[in-house]
Amino acid sequence: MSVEIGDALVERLFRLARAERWGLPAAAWAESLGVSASRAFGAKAPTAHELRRYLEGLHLEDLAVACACAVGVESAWEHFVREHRPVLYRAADMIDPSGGARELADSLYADLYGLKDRSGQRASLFRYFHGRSSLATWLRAVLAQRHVDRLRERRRVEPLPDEESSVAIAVSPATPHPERPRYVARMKQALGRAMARLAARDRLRLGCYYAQELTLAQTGRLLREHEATVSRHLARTRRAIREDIERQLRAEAKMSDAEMALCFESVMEDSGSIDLGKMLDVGDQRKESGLGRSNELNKRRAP
Amino acid sequence: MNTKDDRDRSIDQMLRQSFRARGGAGAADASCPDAETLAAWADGSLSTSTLATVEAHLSDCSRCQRVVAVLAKLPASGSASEPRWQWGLALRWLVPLAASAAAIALWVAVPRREAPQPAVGSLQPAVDSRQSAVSSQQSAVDSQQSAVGNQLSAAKEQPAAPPEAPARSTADERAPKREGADAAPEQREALRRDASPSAPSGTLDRVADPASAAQPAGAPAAAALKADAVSAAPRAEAFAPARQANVIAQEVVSTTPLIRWRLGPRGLLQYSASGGAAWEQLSSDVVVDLVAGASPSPLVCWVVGRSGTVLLTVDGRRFSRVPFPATVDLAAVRATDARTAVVTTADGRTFSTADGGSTWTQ
Repeated sequence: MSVEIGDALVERLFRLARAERWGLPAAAWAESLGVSASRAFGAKAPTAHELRRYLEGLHLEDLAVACACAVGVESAWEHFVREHRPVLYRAADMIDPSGGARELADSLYADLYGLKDRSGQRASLFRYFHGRSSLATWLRAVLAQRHVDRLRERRRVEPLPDEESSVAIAVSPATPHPERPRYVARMKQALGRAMARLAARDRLRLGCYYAQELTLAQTGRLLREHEATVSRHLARTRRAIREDIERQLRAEAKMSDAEMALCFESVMEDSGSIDLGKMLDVGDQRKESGLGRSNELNKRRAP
Repeated sequence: MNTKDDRDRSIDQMLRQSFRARGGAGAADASCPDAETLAAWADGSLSTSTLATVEAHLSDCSRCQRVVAVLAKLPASGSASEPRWQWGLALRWLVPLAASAAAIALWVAVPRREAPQPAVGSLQPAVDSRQSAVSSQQSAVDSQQSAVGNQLSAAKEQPAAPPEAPARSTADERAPKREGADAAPEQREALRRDASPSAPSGTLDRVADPASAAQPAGAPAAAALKADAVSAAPRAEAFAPARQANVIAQEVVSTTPLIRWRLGPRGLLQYSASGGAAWEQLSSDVVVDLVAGASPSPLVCWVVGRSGTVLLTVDGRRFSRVPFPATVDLAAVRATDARTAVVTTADGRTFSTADGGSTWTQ
């Protein structure tokens, strides 16, 4: 469904975007605005006010550059090469200092230029840019996506790690408690359920910090929180998980305080890998019934 | 294991294991947002409803989470679309800050220089006095650094007074305020900082190198300010060669926050049992830069540095050198006790030991 945009608005946005610098055809500009709005609103027909607000909130200058590059305006390309290609290469060098991401940046650059012909037409990757983010961030995001996908591909074909090496670094527990495997299993199950009951943002914060190993500051930048706030939220989430696990052990597994202490102790040593995916699946089955509790957990946390 | 803190640490440990086991990114599927949506999320320009949808997806999709993590590690500045006036604004702040930092540096350094020099009776006292002069100037550099750092932090945090304010400032790599329950994550944070590539070495070397303390008093402060300004650029987590590492004195906090160590350039190693109020000089017996440490308990601390230097104390004060299989610059260390540690080299390799460093496995 295409969104109708009035000529006056198109013209005004054209001026705001300083698109005249590139000699961008008005029709191409109107089309790119229309595509952007269509993607944003989908099947829903926006009101004039909503449409104006959305379009005015776009990164219009960047959209004009992308649009001009996509239609092959030479001066726009010169501008892009001068201003944005260094950003792209700098990002590539930071992603992979050994130079591996440079190839990705080069191939991305080629895709942006539109070397790939499809039925005789140059199809530039710029057509996927709709001005909702800055052009620089979009370029970095595309590069990051390609980098992550390439890593995944590589991992798929890499041989599994030598089992001996993991044996070599394994710490032999002194005198394991005979019930330890049961306690560890119980703790893993309880953790999965507690994780599934967390709010999405809390899980995301944990993921950024523990899985992606971002610093507090980087996590904060992503989540638009101060790093001290990230730190506090992480601490609160850990506390909430701990309380949830304690509740599960006490109420569902009917464990005594001493057994609970042993449970927590059992995971302090290396308890082996824990498949969070499986754990979350376990949690998902209970998610429906646990939604009320999730809210409770969130409410109980300090403001 | 009956205290809440102990149990919170268990949770921390479990989370680390579980997310580590989750490992790499999964495949993209139809529900994954496109690059522009992720970029808009990172730019903070999504509508509230879309934001919630995207965050719900991100919380469970390891692939998209990985993508935004890569984005977070990339520099946010330097793009063409960043308004030029921001640089002007930054300079407008930096100039008075640099001036006041220089003034503070002069105020701190000048009285020390006027102190009467001991009479040179023999060669040894002369050497001693030179050493003490260098060390006093080094502490002047340290105090100037912290003064400049404090000023920058203050200037930076003033506009962002509400805790929930968007933390767009990229200078926020400093340690956050300590909370009792956050000791473990913050230690890891310190380690991660060590592994970050840093500012051009020329600027930083002047701060790190005691010899450069012989420059006019304003110079180290300006250098420190420059170092901080440069480090304000977001850092990637990829390991940079340790030669370029920002080797400034840094603290390793034990699980008991009162116990901490300070380590830094040229084998600098100090100990505090008062939460940093007073420091005791320790002998490291090495002259290389020490870049990172980890303390899994109040008496145990692992420290790593350049040229394969690994030090370990099990009584808090006496560090001994632990043999390391490679003469390579080390960037980070994680430890769970006095026997078990994982050391990361500046070129990204990891070595583990489970016997206090007697044997290492790559």
